[in-house]
Amino acid sequence: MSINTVFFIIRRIINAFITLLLLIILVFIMIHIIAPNPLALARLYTGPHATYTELEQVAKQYGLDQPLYIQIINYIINVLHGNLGIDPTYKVPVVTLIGKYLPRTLELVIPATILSVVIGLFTGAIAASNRNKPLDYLVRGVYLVTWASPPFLIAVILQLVIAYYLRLLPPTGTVNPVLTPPKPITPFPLLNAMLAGDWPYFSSLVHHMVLPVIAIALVSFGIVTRIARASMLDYMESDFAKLSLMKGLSRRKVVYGVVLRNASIPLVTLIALLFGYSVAGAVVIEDIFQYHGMGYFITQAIESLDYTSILGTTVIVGIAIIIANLVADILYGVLDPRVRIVE
Amino acid sequence: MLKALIRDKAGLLGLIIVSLFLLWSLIQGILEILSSYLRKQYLGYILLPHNPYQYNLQLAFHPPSSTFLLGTNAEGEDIFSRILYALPRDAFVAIVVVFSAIIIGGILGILAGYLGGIIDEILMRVTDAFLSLPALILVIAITVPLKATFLATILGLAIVWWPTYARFYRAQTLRIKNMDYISAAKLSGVSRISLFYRYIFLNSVDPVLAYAALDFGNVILTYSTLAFLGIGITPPIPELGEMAANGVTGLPQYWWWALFPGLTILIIVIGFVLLGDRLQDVVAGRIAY
Amino acid sequence: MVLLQIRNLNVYYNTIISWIKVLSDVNLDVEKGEIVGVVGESGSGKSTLGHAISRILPPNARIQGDIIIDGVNLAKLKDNELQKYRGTWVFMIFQNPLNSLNPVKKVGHQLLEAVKIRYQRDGKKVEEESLMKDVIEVLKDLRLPDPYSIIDRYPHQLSGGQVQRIVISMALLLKPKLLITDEPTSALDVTIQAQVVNLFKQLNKEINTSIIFITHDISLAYVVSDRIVVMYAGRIMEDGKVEEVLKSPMHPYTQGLVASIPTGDKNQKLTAIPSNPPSFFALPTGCKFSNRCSKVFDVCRKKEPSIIEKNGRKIRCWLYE
Repeated sequence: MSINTVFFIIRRIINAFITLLLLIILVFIMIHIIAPNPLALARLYTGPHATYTELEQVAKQYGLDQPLYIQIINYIINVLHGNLGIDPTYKVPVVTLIGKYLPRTLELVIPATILSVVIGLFTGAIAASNRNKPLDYLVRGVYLVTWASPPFLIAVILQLVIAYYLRLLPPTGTVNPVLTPPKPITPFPLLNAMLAGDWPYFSSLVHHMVLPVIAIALVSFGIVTRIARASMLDYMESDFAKLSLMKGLSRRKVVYGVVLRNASIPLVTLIALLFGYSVAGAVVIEDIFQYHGMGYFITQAIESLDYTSILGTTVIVGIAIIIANLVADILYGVLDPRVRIVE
Repeated sequence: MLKALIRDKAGLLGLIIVSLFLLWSLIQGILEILSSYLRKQYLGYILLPHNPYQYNLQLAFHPPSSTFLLGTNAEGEDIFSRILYALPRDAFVAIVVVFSAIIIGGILGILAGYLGGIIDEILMRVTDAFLSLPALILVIAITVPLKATFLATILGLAIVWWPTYARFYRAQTLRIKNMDYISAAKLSGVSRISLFYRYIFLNSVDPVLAYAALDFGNVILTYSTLAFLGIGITPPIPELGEMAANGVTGLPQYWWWALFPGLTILIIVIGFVLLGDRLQDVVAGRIAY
Repeated sequence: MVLLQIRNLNVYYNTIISWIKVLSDVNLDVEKGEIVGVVGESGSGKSTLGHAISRILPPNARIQGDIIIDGVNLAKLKDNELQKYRGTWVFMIFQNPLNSLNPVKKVGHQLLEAVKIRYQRDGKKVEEESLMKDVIEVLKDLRLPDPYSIIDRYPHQLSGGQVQRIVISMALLLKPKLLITDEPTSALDVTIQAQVVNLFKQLNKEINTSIIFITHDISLAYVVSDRIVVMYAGRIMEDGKVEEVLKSPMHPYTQGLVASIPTGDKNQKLTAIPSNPPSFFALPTGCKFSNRCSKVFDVCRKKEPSIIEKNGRKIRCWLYE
């Protein structure tokens, strides 16, 4: 990796942090507009059933009587120290809770994004090479339906058909509750099971993961297919595609080798966006499958109108998307030599 | 332009679905408003097969039948009637959010493009911030501190939705700025910026509307997902997402409760997507008029 | 000895608006080792002709007629059958060299692919090392600097002239019977143009490849070709030996093209042919050149002339019937 690429990535990270900063500022400004005095702010922390004295205490504790910009700065400093506040329902630091639930969601979202991209690319390629023939229309139909479905519909249908009707997979839960979990060496349950060699637990986890992963993948599958198809159609008429065909390579090799390879590059830039869609979909899908991840955590926080946890979660999601962006950038450099090697 | 739309079967289907949806929402919506204003409850139900609030525990969990087309829920309320009753709200949210987004986005986008410099930089950064995070998460972050009321939800959606339009109008402004700078300068007496606004807004109506048609569907998707999570709902008024959420508790035996609200959204959004896609093709000149 | 025989070729495109006929009644013979220049303005159909012969027209195109190379009628073959003829029987080079190579693979890899195909078709099995030797030989032949490091480069690291030479190397490695070059020098500097033209002549001499040289520049065609074919609105208007056509052009269109060549004389009046080539959606009735022709008369506007032979020249014009 050349020094140019390193600078490029660093600039992107800084950009992303500014983005996150702006977001935090925005949320704070809005909160301040609704709750302009320290006590109203305190109520946001404690929930609706607090006494006057409790509100005063909280206000002092969190410095809610200070001017807005100082509050923002304090929050950001806290975030940098890894402090996202205390969850009022569980009375436990938000980071601890996120630390427990986030890895489980990542175990869903990361495979789902990868699945969505890989299958989406191939379906887009198939649609492009069969343009306006029945296969193309079929693919476009599937894209339309998956895009227009609310995530809860996809999850419910999958659950009904595959889990309840066909009995192929368990309908709800994260893992078979009868089994004892292996030693928590890492925050990732799947990894723990692998490291401990606990294959029954691993298998149970996987069984419970399949349907949520498919559901989450379907949420963003449509966009990938659509863009992949458009990108493929573009590149199929390019001179180098024609030249590859002229050389005597088989059409299949040209389409799925040369053209797909080139057409997939612009898609890589979408990975962060897809990751975002997957996370959004996961919130609802986890609820339906009763999978205890971030979705579950967020749902609880919404029910109890727990603003601290929601803000903390948003910050974490923002950071996750920044990381996803980074991965996409690196992948872009790997796939496209024009970006890596600048003369 | 309408003729070009109709010629394509998919676009036509989209137009039909959207028209039916909007027409129903208009009529039923007016009835609902009248019924609460005039305090005559039945007005809200005259077009519906059943009173959506009429619960009868003996009729609970009825599968779809000739009386209850889509079945009943845990309280014996007719799901079909509830869905029909809830539709106008979705239409209302979609229209309000998209139009606010167009107006706010238009003003900010044109201003930023016209003034350039720091203001433009700030706008770009702010839109970047909004567009980098998924809309759902952002709206949740905004509405929860605001107690997740219906009004808060509309506000949250509008706040999250305007950046796309701001970018579009900014791009248009920059294009015009480079083209017509000289002729605009010649028109002294009329403030240049008002000229910009009128020129750009009027010239952009076609592409913006085409995109907005698609966007209505997006808003409805996000709004129903928020309703599923309990945000923006005002019980006991039914809301499609909320019905689906409650229906999940009845799975798998009472599957109709969770399935049909979701299917309704699917059909409506398909309508908007087909319509919007076709409109965008027409506007972009990919199809001959 | 004739290599390529095109008989009654018609090509149609299915556009959004309607079907249009972009090539009409094309009949062309190319001898082994002959260089034929195909000349015409933009939109004359010359590029379509090249794509039609190599059978790489876009999916919304339809072909009618026969395209026979060495006894094989390419027009009647299906796509998967065509594969074994592409590369070694017919090869095509495109206009913009910078877009002609796969941007994500090294240049050496792409040349290796070509030479592998040649050996495969010949039925020989060779080691990759000696294949690479062939590649290096050809690169040296074309006087590319430092061939050993060039094969490790990506296309974007090379200049336009270098890339065009790489593509020509591919032709040298594939040794096709027929080479079609579509405006191969339009995107290059004038100085490189001369080099590239010489490379084609070299190819023609070394492996006796027939070349169809498509260009809008008639003076360039004169330098390269043995024979020249003038196209307009998808039809062949004139076809003859290059010196004869340029010395005494018969078709008014050819006369216009020849007259517009700058002679280097300061006092030369540059003449242009008035108006523009017609759109395929709105062709004039009768002779397609009638609305721009200085020698037009009545029958030209009513009926389209067919090709006749006169003194070894093929001509499509009412003046000669």
